[in-house]
Amino acid sequence: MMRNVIIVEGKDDAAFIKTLAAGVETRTIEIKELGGAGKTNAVALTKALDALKNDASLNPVSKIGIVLDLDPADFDPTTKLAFVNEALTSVFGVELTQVGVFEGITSIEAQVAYYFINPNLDVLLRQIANNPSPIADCLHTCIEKTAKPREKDKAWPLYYMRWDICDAKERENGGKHVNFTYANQKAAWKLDSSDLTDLKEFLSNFD
Amino acid sequence: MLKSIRIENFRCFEETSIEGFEKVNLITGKNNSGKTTLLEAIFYFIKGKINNAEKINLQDKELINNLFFHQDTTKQIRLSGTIDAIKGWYTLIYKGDNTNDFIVPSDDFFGESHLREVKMIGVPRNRILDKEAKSIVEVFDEAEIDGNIEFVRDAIKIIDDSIEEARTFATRSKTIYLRKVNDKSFMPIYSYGDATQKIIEFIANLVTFSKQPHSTKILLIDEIENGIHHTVQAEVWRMLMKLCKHYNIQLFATTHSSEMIKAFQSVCAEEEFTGMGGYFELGQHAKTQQIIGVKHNLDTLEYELSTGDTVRGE
Repeated sequence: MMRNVIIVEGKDDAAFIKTLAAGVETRTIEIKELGGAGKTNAVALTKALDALKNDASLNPVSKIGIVLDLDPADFDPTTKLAFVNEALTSVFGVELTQVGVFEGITSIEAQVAYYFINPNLDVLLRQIANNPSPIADCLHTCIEKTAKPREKDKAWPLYYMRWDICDAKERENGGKHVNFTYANQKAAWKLDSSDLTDLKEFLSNFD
Repeated sequence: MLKSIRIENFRCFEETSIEGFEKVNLITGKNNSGKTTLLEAIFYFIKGKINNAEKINLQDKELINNLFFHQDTTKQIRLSGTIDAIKGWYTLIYKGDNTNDFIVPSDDFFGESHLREVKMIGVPRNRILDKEAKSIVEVFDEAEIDGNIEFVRDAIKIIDDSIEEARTFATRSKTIYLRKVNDKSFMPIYSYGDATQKIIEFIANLVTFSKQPHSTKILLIDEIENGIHHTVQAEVWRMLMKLCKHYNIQLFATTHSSEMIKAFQSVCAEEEFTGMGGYFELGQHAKTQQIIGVKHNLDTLEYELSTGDTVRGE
Protein backbone atom coordinates (compact mmCIF):
# COMPACT_ATOMS: atom_id res chain seq x y z
CA MET A 1 0.00 0.00 0.00
CA MET A 2 1.41 3.38 -0.97
CA ARG A 3 1.87 5.80 1.88
CA ASN A 4 0.56 9.31 2.31
CA VAL A 5 2.40 11.61 4.68
CA ILE A 6 1.20 14.82 6.28
CA ILE A 7 3.74 17.13 7.85
CA VAL A 8 2.47 19.18 10.79
CA GLU A 9 4.08 21.43 13.37
CA GLY A 10 3.69 19.51 16.61
CA LYS A 11 1.95 16.90 18.73
CA ASP A 12 -1.33 18.80 19.12
CA ASP A 13 -1.50 19.40 15.38
CA ALA A 14 -0.85 15.71 14.77
CA ALA A 15 -3.63 14.64 17.13
CA PHE A 16 -6.00 17.15 15.57
CA ILE A 17 -5.28 16.01 12.01
CA LYS A 18 -5.58 12.35 12.99
CA THR A 19 -9.02 13.07 14.43
CA LEU A 20 -10.20 15.03 11.42
CA ALA A 21 -8.79 12.51 9.02
CA ALA A 22 -10.56 9.67 10.81
CA GLY A 23 -13.43 9.97 8.40
CA VAL A 24 -11.04 9.94 5.49
CA GLU A 25 -8.54 7.09 5.71
CA THR A 26 -6.15 7.17 8.61
CA ARG A 27 -4.45 3.89 7.83
CA THR A 28 -2.49 5.39 4.99
CA ILE A 29 -1.73 8.73 6.60
CA GLU A 30 1.41 9.19 8.62
CA ILE A 31 1.93 12.33 10.60
CA LYS A 32 5.40 13.87 10.78
CA GLU A 33 5.93 16.45 13.50
CA LEU A 34 8.28 19.35 12.92
CA GLY A 35 8.51 20.50 16.50
CA GLY A 36 7.64 24.03 15.34
CA ALA A 37 7.95 25.70 11.98
CA GLY A 38 7.83 29.38 12.80
CA LYS A 39 10.12 32.12 11.62
CA THR A 40 12.80 31.09 14.11
CA ASN A 41 12.71 27.46 13.03
CA ALA A 42 12.86 27.69 9.24
CA VAL A 43 15.31 24.82 8.95
CA ALA A 44 12.89 22.34 10.57
CA LEU A 45 10.74 22.00 7.46
CA THR A 46 13.79 21.51 5.25
CA LYS A 47 15.09 18.76 7.54
CA ALA A 48 11.67 17.07 7.69
CA LEU A 49 11.40 17.10 3.89
CA ASP A 50 14.96 15.84 3.48
CA ALA A 51 14.25 13.02 5.95
CA LEU A 52 11.11 12.21 4.00
CA LYS A 53 13.13 12.14 0.78
CA ASN A 54 15.53 9.61 2.38
CA ASP A 55 12.61 7.58 3.70
CA ALA A 56 10.67 7.66 0.42
CA SER A 57 13.71 6.39 -1.48
CA LEU A 58 13.23 3.02 0.23
CA ASN A 59 9.54 3.15 1.17
CA PRO A 60 7.68 5.03 -1.56
CA VAL A 61 5.28 7.81 -0.66
CA SER A 62 2.35 8.74 -2.86
CA LYS A 63 1.21 12.09 -1.48
CA ILE A 64 2.75 14.60 0.89
CA GLY A 65 0.66 17.23 2.67
CA ILE A 66 2.15 20.19 4.48
CA VAL A 67 -0.29 21.60 7.06
CA LEU A 68 1.12 24.59 8.93
CA ASP A 69 -0.23 27.51 10.94
CA LEU A 70 -0.29 30.73 8.96
CA ASP A 71 0.81 32.75 12.00
CA PRO A 72 -0.23 36.22 10.73
CA ALA A 73 2.08 37.92 13.22
CA ASP A 74 5.01 36.68 11.16
CA PHE A 75 3.56 35.83 7.75
CA ASP A 76 0.85 36.56 5.23
CA PRO A 77 -0.27 33.79 2.82
CA THR A 78 2.28 34.86 0.21
CA THR A 79 5.29 34.99 2.54
CA LYS A 80 4.29 31.75 4.27
CA LEU A 81 4.08 30.03 0.89
CA ALA A 82 7.51 31.44 0.05
CA PHE A 83 8.73 29.97 3.36
CA VAL A 84 7.40 26.54 2.36
CA ASN A 85 8.69 26.82 -1.20
CA GLU A 86 12.18 27.63 -0.01
CA ALA A 87 12.31 24.27 1.77
CA LEU A 88 10.60 22.41 -1.07
CA THR A 89 12.95 23.88 -3.66
CA SER A 90 16.08 23.04 -1.70
CA VAL A 91 15.04 19.41 -1.17
CA PHE A 92 12.89 18.48 -4.15
CA GLY A 93 13.33 21.32 -6.65
CA VAL A 94 9.59 22.05 -6.83
CA GLU A 95 7.40 25.01 -5.88
CA LEU A 96 3.73 25.20 -4.94
CA THR A 97 1.50 28.00 -6.17
CA GLN A 98 -1.99 27.36 -4.86
CA VAL A 99 -3.47 25.89 -1.69
CA GLY A 100 -4.66 22.31 -2.11
CA VAL A 101 -3.18 21.92 -5.58
CA PHE A 102 -0.67 19.08 -5.93
CA GLU A 103 2.66 19.37 -7.72
CA GLY A 104 4.73 16.37 -8.80
CA ILE A 105 8.10 15.49 -7.27
CA THR A 106 10.05 13.64 -9.91
CA SER A 107 12.88 12.35 -7.73
CA ILE A 108 10.61 10.27 -5.48
CA GLU A 109 7.61 9.99 -7.83
CA ALA A 110 5.28 11.65 -5.30
CA GLN A 111 2.94 14.65 -5.16
CA VAL A 112 2.92 17.50 -2.66
CA ALA A 113 0.37 20.14 -1.62
CA TYR A 114 -0.06 22.59 1.29
CA TYR A 115 -2.73 24.01 3.57
CA PHE A 116 -2.37 26.86 6.08
CA ILE A 117 -4.55 26.99 9.20
CA ASN A 118 -5.59 30.63 9.51
CA PRO A 119 -4.52 32.10 11.83
CA ASN A 120 -3.41 29.00 13.76
CA LEU A 121 -4.62 25.76 15.35
CA ASP A 122 -5.13 27.33 18.77
CA VAL A 123 -7.57 29.94 17.48
CA LEU A 124 -9.30 27.33 15.36
CA LEU A 125 -9.79 25.16 18.44
CA ARG A 126 -11.37 28.12 20.22
CA GLN A 127 -13.71 28.58 17.27
CA ILE A 128 -14.86 24.96 17.35
CA ALA A 129 -15.27 24.63 21.13
CA ASN A 130 -18.39 22.61 21.79
CA ASN A 131 -18.90 23.39 25.48
CA PRO A 132 -19.41 26.58 27.44
CA SER A 133 -16.02 28.01 28.47
CA PRO A 134 -16.57 30.37 31.41
CA ILE A 135 -13.33 29.54 33.21
CA ALA A 136 -11.15 29.60 30.09
CA ASP A 137 -12.67 32.92 29.03
CA CYS A 138 -12.15 34.36 32.50
CA LEU A 139 -8.53 33.25 32.74
CA HIS A 140 -7.91 34.42 29.22
CA THR A 141 -9.18 37.88 30.13
CA CYS A 142 -6.73 37.97 33.01
CA ILE A 143 -3.73 37.66 30.70
CA GLU A 144 -5.22 40.03 28.11
CA LYS A 145 -2.85 42.90 28.86
CA THR A 146 0.31 41.11 29.85
CA ALA A 147 0.71 38.22 27.39
CA LYS A 148 1.87 38.45 23.80
CA PRO A 149 -0.82 37.68 21.18
CA ARG A 150 0.67 34.27 20.32
CA GLU A 151 0.89 33.35 24.01
CA LYS A 152 -2.76 34.26 24.45
CA ASP A 153 -3.74 32.13 21.46
CA LYS A 154 -1.91 29.14 22.88
CA ALA A 155 -3.28 29.63 26.39
CA TRP A 156 -7.01 29.49 25.67
CA PRO A 157 -7.29 25.83 24.52
CA LEU A 158 -5.16 24.74 27.48
CA TYR A 159 -7.42 26.63 29.92
CA TYR A 160 -10.50 25.25 28.19
CA MET A 161 -9.32 21.63 28.26
CA ARG A 162 -8.05 21.82 31.85
CA TRP A 163 -10.79 23.86 33.55
CA ASP A 164 -13.94 23.57 31.43
CA ILE A 165 -13.58 20.00 30.17
CA CYS A 166 -11.66 18.08 32.83
CA ASP A 167 -13.10 17.50 36.32
CA ALA A 168 -11.04 17.87 39.48
CA LYS A 169 -9.83 14.27 39.44
CA GLU A 170 -8.76 14.47 35.80
CA ARG A 171 -6.91 17.70 36.48
CA GLU A 172 -4.75 15.91 39.05
CA ASN A 173 -3.25 13.97 36.14
CA GLY A 174 -3.07 16.85 33.68
CA GLY A 175 -0.34 15.28 31.57
CA LYS A 176 -2.71 12.48 30.65
CA HIS A 177 -5.97 14.41 30.32
CA VAL A 178 -5.20 17.96 29.19
CA ASN A 179 -4.71 17.31 25.51
CA PHE A 180 -6.67 17.43 22.29
CA THR A 181 -7.32 13.69 22.05
CA TYR A 182 -8.74 13.28 25.55
CA ALA A 183 -10.82 16.44 25.26
CA ASN A 184 -12.19 15.12 21.99
CA GLN A 185 -13.29 11.92 23.74
CA LYS A 186 -15.39 14.19 25.97
CA ALA A 187 -16.96 15.87 22.95
CA ALA A 188 -15.11 19.13 23.59
CA TRP A 189 -14.93 20.05 19.90
CA LYS A 190 -17.52 20.65 17.18
CA LEU A 191 -15.97 18.56 14.46
CA ASP A 192 -18.85 19.30 12.10
CA SER A 193 -18.16 23.04 12.31
CA SER A 194 -18.11 24.91 9.01
CA ASP A 195 -14.75 26.33 10.16
CA LEU A 196 -13.26 22.93 9.35
CA THR A 197 -14.75 22.49 5.87
CA ASP A 198 -11.71 23.64 3.89
CA LEU A 199 -9.28 21.65 5.98
CA LYS A 200 -11.41 18.51 5.71
CA GLU A 201 -11.58 18.98 1.96
CA PHE A 202 -7.78 19.22 1.84
CA LEU A 203 -7.43 16.07 3.94
CA SER A 204 -9.85 14.23 1.67
CA ASN A 205 -7.12 14.39 -0.98
CA PHE A 206 -5.25 11.82 1.08
CA ASP A 207 -8.03 9.28 1.00
CA MET B 1 40.03 7.98 -1.29
CA LEU B 2 37.25 5.79 -2.66
CA LYS B 3 34.53 8.19 -3.86
CA SER B 4 32.02 5.79 -5.37
CA ILE B 5 31.41 2.16 -6.23
CA ARG B 6 29.21 0.33 -8.71
CA ILE B 7 28.43 -3.31 -8.04
CA GLU B 8 26.94 -5.63 -10.64
CA ASN B 9 25.91 -9.28 -10.20
CA PHE B 10 27.73 -9.67 -6.89
CA ARG B 11 26.03 -11.68 -4.11
CA CYS B 12 22.76 -9.80 -3.25
CA PHE B 13 23.61 -6.86 -5.52
CA GLU B 14 22.29 -7.07 -9.05
CA GLU B 15 23.03 -3.50 -10.05
CA THR B 16 23.83 -0.82 -7.48
CA SER B 17 25.75 2.44 -7.53
CA ILE B 18 26.66 4.33 -4.37
CA GLU B 19 28.31 7.72 -4.50
CA GLY B 20 29.57 10.33 -2.09
CA PHE B 21 31.80 8.34 0.23
CA GLU B 22 33.67 10.41 2.81
CA LYS B 23 36.71 9.80 4.96
CA VAL B 24 34.72 7.91 7.64
CA ASN B 25 31.58 6.15 6.46
CA LEU B 26 28.88 4.48 8.52
CA ILE B 27 26.58 2.07 6.72
CA THR B 28 23.28 0.86 8.10
CA GLY B 29 20.24 -1.02 6.90
CA LYS B 30 17.95 -3.87 7.84
CA ASN B 31 19.19 -7.45 8.04
CA ASN B 32 20.19 -8.81 4.63
CA SER B 33 20.20 -5.35 3.12
CA GLY B 34 23.73 -5.88 1.86
CA LYS B 35 25.87 -4.04 4.41
CA THR B 36 28.54 -6.70 4.81
CA THR B 37 28.43 -7.46 1.10
CA LEU B 38 29.10 -3.80 0.33
CA LEU B 39 32.24 -4.05 2.49
CA GLU B 40 33.22 -7.20 0.60
CA ALA B 41 32.71 -5.49 -2.75
CA ILE B 42 34.89 -2.59 -1.65
CA PHE B 43 37.47 -5.09 -0.41
CA TYR B 44 37.66 -6.94 -3.73
CA PHE B 45 37.50 -3.73 -5.74
CA ILE B 46 40.44 -2.21 -3.91
CA LYS B 47 42.40 -5.48 -3.96
CA GLY B 48 41.70 -5.85 -7.66
CA LYS B 49 41.75 -9.61 -7.21
CA ILE B 50 40.86 -12.46 -4.90
CA ASN B 51 44.10 -13.36 -3.24
CA ASN B 52 43.92 -17.10 -3.11
CA ALA B 53 42.36 -17.66 -6.50
CA GLU B 54 45.00 -20.18 -7.39
CA LYS B 55 44.20 -22.28 -4.32
CA ILE B 56 40.51 -22.86 -4.92
CA ASN B 57 39.42 -26.38 -4.09
CA LEU B 58 36.07 -28.10 -4.54
CA GLN B 59 34.76 -26.78 -1.26
CA ASP B 60 35.70 -23.26 -2.30
CA LYS B 61 33.69 -23.66 -5.51
CA GLU B 62 30.60 -23.32 -3.36
CA LEU B 63 32.02 -20.05 -2.05
CA ILE B 64 32.67 -18.92 -5.59
CA ASN B 65 29.12 -19.70 -6.70
CA ASN B 66 27.82 -17.67 -3.78
CA LEU B 67 29.74 -14.66 -5.00
CA PHE B 68 27.33 -14.37 -7.94
CA PHE B 69 23.88 -12.79 -7.81
CA HIS B 70 21.34 -15.63 -7.58
CA GLN B 71 24.38 -17.94 -8.01
CA ASP B 72 24.13 -17.29 -11.72
CA THR B 73 27.73 -17.82 -12.81
CA THR B 74 26.87 -17.25 -16.45
CA LYS B 75 26.76 -13.52 -15.82
CA GLN B 76 29.83 -11.49 -15.04
CA ILE B 77 30.50 -9.86 -11.72
CA ARG B 78 31.59 -6.35 -12.40
CA LEU B 79 32.96 -3.96 -9.79
CA SER B 80 33.77 -0.40 -10.74
CA GLY B 81 34.35 2.80 -8.93
CA THR B 82 36.20 6.05 -8.52
CA ILE B 83 39.30 6.53 -6.44
CA ASP B 84 40.07 10.22 -6.13
CA ALA B 85 39.53 11.31 -9.74
CA ILE B 86 40.44 7.99 -11.36
CA LYS B 87 37.77 5.64 -12.58
CA GLY B 88 38.50 1.96 -12.63
CA TRP B 89 36.71 -1.32 -13.09
CA TYR B 90 37.30 -4.99 -13.49
CA THR B 91 35.26 -8.00 -14.32
CA LEU B 92 35.13 -11.28 -12.47
CA ILE B 93 34.35 -14.26 -14.68
CA TYR B 94 33.71 -17.81 -13.50
CA LYS B 95 35.09 -20.40 -15.91
CA GLY B 96 33.70 -23.68 -14.60
CA ASP B 97 36.48 -25.99 -13.33
CA ASN B 98 39.20 -23.80 -14.68
CA THR B 99 39.27 -21.40 -11.77
CA ASN B 100 42.85 -20.30 -12.07
CA ASP B 101 42.14 -16.98 -13.66
CA PHE B 102 38.61 -16.01 -12.84
CA ILE B 103 39.63 -12.45 -12.21
CA VAL B 104 40.18 -10.50 -15.36
CA PRO B 105 41.47 -6.99 -14.79
CA SER B 106 39.86 -4.96 -17.49
CA ASP B 107 41.92 -1.82 -17.73
CA ASP B 108 45.14 -0.25 -16.55
CA PHE B 109 43.52 0.89 -13.33
CA PHE B 110 44.55 -2.25 -11.55
CA GLY B 111 48.05 -2.04 -12.86
CA GLU B 112 48.41 0.43 -10.04
CA SER B 113 46.96 -1.82 -7.36
CA HIS B 114 50.22 -1.68 -5.42
CA LEU B 115 49.24 1.89 -4.53
CA ARG B 116 46.18 0.67 -2.66
CA GLU B 117 45.67 -1.38 0.48
CA VAL B 118 42.55 -2.53 2.26
CA LYS B 119 41.95 -4.40 5.50
CA MET B 120 38.75 -5.93 6.76
CA ILE B 121 37.69 -6.64 10.34
CA GLY B 122 34.70 -8.52 11.66
CA VAL B 123 33.69 -10.55 8.62
CA PRO B 124 33.89 -14.35 9.02
CA ARG B 125 37.04 -15.71 7.40
CA ASN B 126 35.05 -18.29 5.46
CA ARG B 127 33.23 -15.46 3.73
CA ILE B 128 36.13 -13.32 2.65
CA LEU B 129 38.60 -15.06 0.39
CA ASP B 130 41.58 -13.28 1.84
CA LYS B 131 44.45 -15.41 3.05
CA GLU B 132 46.62 -12.35 3.66
CA ALA B 133 44.53 -11.18 6.61
CA LYS B 134 46.63 -10.99 9.74
CA SER B 135 45.76 -12.06 13.25
CA ILE B 136 45.26 -9.50 15.98
CA VAL B 137 48.60 -10.57 17.52
CA GLU B 138 50.47 -10.01 14.26
CA VAL B 139 48.91 -6.58 13.85
CA PHE B 140 49.63 -5.70 17.48
CA ASP B 141 53.28 -6.71 17.11
CA GLU B 142 53.56 -4.67 13.92
CA ALA B 143 52.24 -1.63 15.74
CA GLU B 144 54.85 -2.16 18.46
CA ILE B 145 57.70 -2.61 15.99
CA ASP B 146 56.61 0.55 14.15
CA GLY B 147 56.63 2.53 17.41
CA ASN B 148 52.88 3.12 17.36
CA ILE B 149 51.86 0.99 20.30
CA GLU B 150 50.98 4.03 22.44
CA PHE B 151 47.94 4.62 20.22
CA VAL B 152 46.76 1.11 20.99
CA ARG B 153 47.37 1.51 24.71
CA ASP B 154 45.49 4.82 24.75
CA ALA B 155 42.60 3.13 22.96
CA ILE B 156 42.46 0.32 25.52
CA LYS B 157 42.07 2.92 28.26
CA ILE B 158 38.88 4.17 26.62
CA ILE B 159 37.35 0.79 27.38
CA ASP B 160 39.07 0.15 30.71
CA ASP B 161 41.32 2.78 32.25
CA SER B 162 42.57 0.31 34.86
CA ILE B 163 44.64 -1.49 32.21
CA GLU B 164 48.22 -0.33 32.47
CA GLU B 165 50.08 -2.52 30.01
CA ALA B 166 49.41 -4.57 26.88
CA ARG B 167 51.95 -6.86 25.23
CA THR B 168 52.61 -10.20 23.60
CA PHE B 169 54.99 -12.97 24.74
CA ALA B 170 57.01 -15.08 22.33
CA THR B 171 56.88 -18.08 24.66
CA ARG B 172 53.17 -18.02 25.37
CA SER B 173 50.12 -18.78 23.27
CA LYS B 174 49.47 -16.33 20.48
CA THR B 175 47.31 -13.71 22.05
CA ILE B 176 47.68 -10.29 23.65
CA TYR B 177 48.20 -10.08 27.40
CA LEU B 178 46.99 -7.23 29.57
CA ARG B 179 48.09 -6.12 33.02
CA LYS B 180 45.98 -3.95 35.29
CA VAL B 181 47.27 -1.21 37.59
CA ASN B 182 48.68 -2.73 40.80
CA ASP B 183 48.55 -6.24 39.34
CA LYS B 184 51.81 -8.10 38.88
CA SER B 185 50.64 -10.72 36.43
CA PHE B 186 49.32 -10.48 32.88
CA MET B 187 45.98 -11.94 31.83
CA PRO B 188 45.13 -13.02 28.25
CA ILE B 189 42.88 -10.62 26.37
CA TYR B 190 40.15 -13.23 25.92
CA SER B 191 39.53 -13.06 29.67
CA TYR B 192 38.38 -9.47 29.14
CA GLY B 193 35.24 -8.33 27.29
CA ASP B 194 34.78 -8.34 23.53
CA ALA B 195 35.15 -4.58 23.41
CA THR B 196 38.77 -4.62 24.58
CA GLN B 197 39.75 -7.09 21.87
CA LYS B 198 37.79 -5.19 19.22
CA ILE B 199 39.25 -1.80 20.07
CA ILE B 200 42.78 -3.19 20.00
CA GLU B 201 42.04 -4.73 16.60
CA PHE B 202 40.65 -1.44 15.23
CA ILE B 203 43.46 0.73 16.44
CA ALA B 204 46.27 -1.71 15.70
CA ASN B 205 45.03 -2.08 12.14
CA LEU B 206 44.82 1.68 11.71
CA VAL B 207 48.27 2.44 13.03
CA THR B 208 49.93 -0.35 11.06
CA PHE B 209 48.63 1.37 7.98
CA SER B 210 50.51 4.49 8.90
CA LYS B 211 53.94 3.42 7.65
CA GLN B 212 52.72 1.75 4.50
CA PRO B 213 53.46 3.58 1.26
CA HIS B 214 50.04 3.11 -0.34
CA SER B 215 48.24 6.27 -1.46
CA THR B 216 44.82 4.74 -0.79
CA LYS B 217 44.36 3.00 2.53
CA ILE B 218 40.96 1.64 3.50
CA LEU B 219 39.83 -0.09 6.68
CA LEU B 220 36.52 -1.99 6.65
CA ILE B 221 34.82 -2.89 9.94
CA ASP B 222 31.68 -5.02 10.04
CA GLU B 223 29.22 -4.53 12.91
CA ILE B 224 31.40 -1.98 14.64
CA GLU B 225 29.12 -1.74 17.69
CA ASN B 226 29.59 -5.34 18.85
CA GLY B 227 30.68 -5.44 22.47
CA ILE B 228 31.18 -1.68 22.76
CA HIS B 229 29.04 -0.17 25.52
CA HIS B 230 27.05 2.86 24.42
CA THR B 231 28.73 5.08 27.03
CA VAL B 232 32.09 4.82 25.25
CA GLN B 233 30.90 4.70 21.64
CA ALA B 234 31.41 8.44 21.03
CA GLU B 235 34.94 8.20 22.40
CA VAL B 236 35.65 5.24 20.11
CA TRP B 237 34.45 7.24 17.09
CA ARG B 238 36.55 10.20 18.18
CA MET B 239 39.68 8.06 18.31
CA LEU B 240 38.95 6.36 14.99
CA MET B 241 38.33 9.71 13.31
CA LYS B 242 41.49 11.24 14.72
CA LEU B 243 43.58 8.34 13.47
CA CYS B 244 41.88 8.30 10.05
CA LYS B 245 42.55 12.01 9.71
CA HIS B 246 46.11 11.81 10.96
CA TYR B 247 47.11 8.84 8.79
CA ASN B 248 44.86 9.62 5.82
CA ILE B 249 42.98 6.32 6.12
CA GLN B 250 39.44 5.85 4.84
CA LEU B 251 37.08 3.89 7.06
CA PHE B 252 33.87 2.03 6.24
CA ALA B 253 31.89 0.54 9.11
CA THR B 254 28.50 -1.14 9.34
CA THR B 255 26.15 -1.08 12.31
CA HIS B 256 22.73 -2.19 13.52
CA SER B 257 22.85 0.06 16.56
CA SER B 258 20.96 3.34 16.81
CA GLU B 259 23.21 4.27 19.75
CA MET B 260 26.26 3.84 17.51
CA ILE B 261 24.59 6.00 14.84
CA LYS B 262 23.81 8.70 17.41
CA ALA B 263 27.40 8.65 18.67
CA PHE B 264 28.66 8.88 15.08
CA GLN B 265 26.37 11.80 14.27
CA SER B 266 27.34 13.74 17.38
CA VAL B 267 31.09 13.24 16.84
CA CYS B 268 30.79 14.19 13.15
CA ALA B 269 29.20 17.47 14.28
CA GLU B 270 32.30 18.39 16.28
CA GLU B 271 34.40 21.11 14.67
CA GLU B 272 37.52 18.94 14.48
CA PHE B 273 35.70 16.38 12.34
CA THR B 274 33.52 18.60 10.16
CA GLY B 275 33.12 17.18 6.68
CA MET B 276 34.71 13.83 7.55
CA GLY B 277 31.60 11.71 8.05
CA GLY B 278 29.20 10.06 5.61
CA TYR B 279 26.09 8.11 6.61
CA PHE B 280 24.51 5.62 4.19
CA GLU B 281 21.36 3.56 4.49
CA LEU B 282 21.05 0.44 2.36
CA GLY B 283 17.71 -1.01 1.38
CA GLN B 284 15.70 -2.42 -1.45
CA HIS B 285 13.92 -0.02 -3.74
CA ALA B 286 10.23 -0.91 -3.72
CA LYS B 287 9.77 -0.61 -7.47
CA THR B 288 13.05 -1.74 -9.00
CA GLN B 289 13.84 -4.31 -6.27
CA GLN B 290 17.47 -3.22 -6.57
CA ILE B 291 19.51 -2.46 -3.48
CA ILE B 292 20.14 1.25 -3.22
CA GLY B 293 22.33 3.30 -0.91
CA VAL B 294 20.76 6.49 0.40
CA LYS B 295 23.25 9.06 1.67
CA HIS B 296 21.79 11.09 4.55
CA ASN B 297 22.81 14.66 5.20
CA LEU B 298 24.24 14.62 8.74
CA ASP B 299 22.05 17.57 9.84
CA THR B 300 19.02 15.68 8.60
CA LEU B 301 20.28 12.56 10.38
CA GLU B 302 20.22 14.50 13.65
CA TYR B 303 16.54 15.32 12.99
CA GLU B 304 15.80 11.71 12.02
CA LEU B 305 17.42 10.40 15.18
CA SER B 306 15.49 12.87 17.34
CA THR B 307 12.14 11.96 15.78
CA GLY B 308 12.81 8.25 15.39
CA ASP B 309 12.40 8.55 11.64
CA THR B 310 14.27 6.47 9.16
CA VAL B 311 16.77 4.77 11.41
CA ARG B 312 16.77 1.22 10.28
CA GLY B 313 18.54 -1.99 10.90
CA GLU B 314 17.75 -2.36 14.59
